[in-house]
Amino acid sequence: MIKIEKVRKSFGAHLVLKDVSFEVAKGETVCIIGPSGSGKSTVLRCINRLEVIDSGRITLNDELIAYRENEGRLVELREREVLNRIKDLGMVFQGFNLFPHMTVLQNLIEAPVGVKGEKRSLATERGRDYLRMVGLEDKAEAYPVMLSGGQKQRVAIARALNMEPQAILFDEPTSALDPENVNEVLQVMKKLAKGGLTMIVVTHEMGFAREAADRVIFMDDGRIVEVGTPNEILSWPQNARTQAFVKSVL
Amino acid sequence: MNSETIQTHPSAPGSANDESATYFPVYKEKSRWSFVVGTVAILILAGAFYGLVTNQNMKWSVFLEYLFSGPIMSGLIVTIELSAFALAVGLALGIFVALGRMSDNIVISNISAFYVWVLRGLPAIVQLLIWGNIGLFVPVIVLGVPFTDIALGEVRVATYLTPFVASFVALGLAESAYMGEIIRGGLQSIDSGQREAAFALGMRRGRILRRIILPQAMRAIVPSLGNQFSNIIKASALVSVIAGGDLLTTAQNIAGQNYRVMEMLFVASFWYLAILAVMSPVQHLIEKRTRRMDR
Repeated sequence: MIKIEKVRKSFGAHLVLKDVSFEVAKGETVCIIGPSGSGKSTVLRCINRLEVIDSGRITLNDELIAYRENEGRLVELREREVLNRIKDLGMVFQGFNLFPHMTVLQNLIEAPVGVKGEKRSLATERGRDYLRMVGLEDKAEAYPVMLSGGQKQRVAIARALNMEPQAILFDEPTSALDPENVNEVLQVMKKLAKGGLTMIVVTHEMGFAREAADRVIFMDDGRIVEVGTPNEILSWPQNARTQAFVKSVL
Repeated sequence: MNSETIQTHPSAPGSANDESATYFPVYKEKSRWSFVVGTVAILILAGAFYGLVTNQNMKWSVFLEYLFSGPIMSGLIVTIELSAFALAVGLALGIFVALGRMSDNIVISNISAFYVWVLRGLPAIVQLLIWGNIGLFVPVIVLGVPFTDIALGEVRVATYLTPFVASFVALGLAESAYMGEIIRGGLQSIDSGQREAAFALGMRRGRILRRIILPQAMRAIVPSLGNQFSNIIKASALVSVIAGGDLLTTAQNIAGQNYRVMEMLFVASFWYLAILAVMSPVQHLIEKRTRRMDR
């Protein structure tokens, strides 16, 4: 469903992604692991056009997401067309990025109503369902500042879900959490993975990767080094760099 | 002393309190000097106030006579109107100045920076004089395409730019430069994650600005708006150089007739302070509303 081919991305003179390619099938959960600075977050941010790539091809259902190809060049699509595609890709950030001036429920219905033109009542009803799913139906009227980190991140997941995306990208969703809050977020994510949501998860949680991922991608220095099942990557890594990384985190 | 007992592991030494000891609360001794300084300050103030009230040259009856008089009231209204219009002009233009300065378009951002530089650099009184006299210099403005003969119409400057309009336009333009910088600061204080999250949800730029960034920026902006408004009210006293009709000019005109200069200045001062006194609770209320999310 999501296909990344030969994606190259640099920040100034520094090449962060060196021809990265992989594919994610519908319903699959893929975890991307690797040391910091390996480019794993950048891959996610390139998929939904938070970063502009240098070259390569990123498609959702065989449609280029932010560009069209024209005479051997990538030409940026107009804002409206880009947004029309990336609204099908949810994103959950390390820093939650809830809108602090809106209640939890307003956070959930802002985009469905404002972007997709849904009826407020419909978006609200479904939003409450998703809040129930993440265990926060009693926080609908609360402002984000009143929530713990784990609760905020669960709201952020519900917010992404309420757009009914085809896939959700998770950018280190538990890295900013206090240790005692990590599990409640991972539980929700596991439930989603089991429920058949397509997910790409950049994470340091090896336990989550082992339990919930269909495939694990190990990245280092802007390249994909090794791809396999959780067991293959985490228990029997073949590449020396993967071995060193896995050994250091387990 | 302890109602709860602490579970102490044998390996952790020295954590128990001494049950036989007495523990004291902190006692803060007040300095004798604070009383002395306070008393002296009150005495000085009281003396000055007494001198003012009992001054033989000060006719308080005149002050009271004019305080609520018709001309002063209409001057007060002119000052409030002038300030409100100037604030509205400054705020509206300020938004454009802020967006202009943040624009990706290098021409627009440089023009905006130049605009801010000029309008902040010129004293308000100079700007007032320029706008008050511009009708002499540019009698007619022709709307059309520059450097061609295509004209869509023309405007007689003097017809529209009455002294009152010139006054609030001048004050508003000067204000817009400050306002622009305040708004820009407010907009830029918002974490980039907010924009990213909104973008990832499919929102367009205008919508992100309107629904996500501006409401949050407002709480950085609103406290400064209050300050700017009180600055404008005070700056409005300068319009006497081109227009008049405002509070200070009216008071001075009356003083010119009855020679009670001090009394009339006190009348004007009373109302300037009264406006600010009314303003600050309003400002406080608005600030409280914009801080709803911090509850």
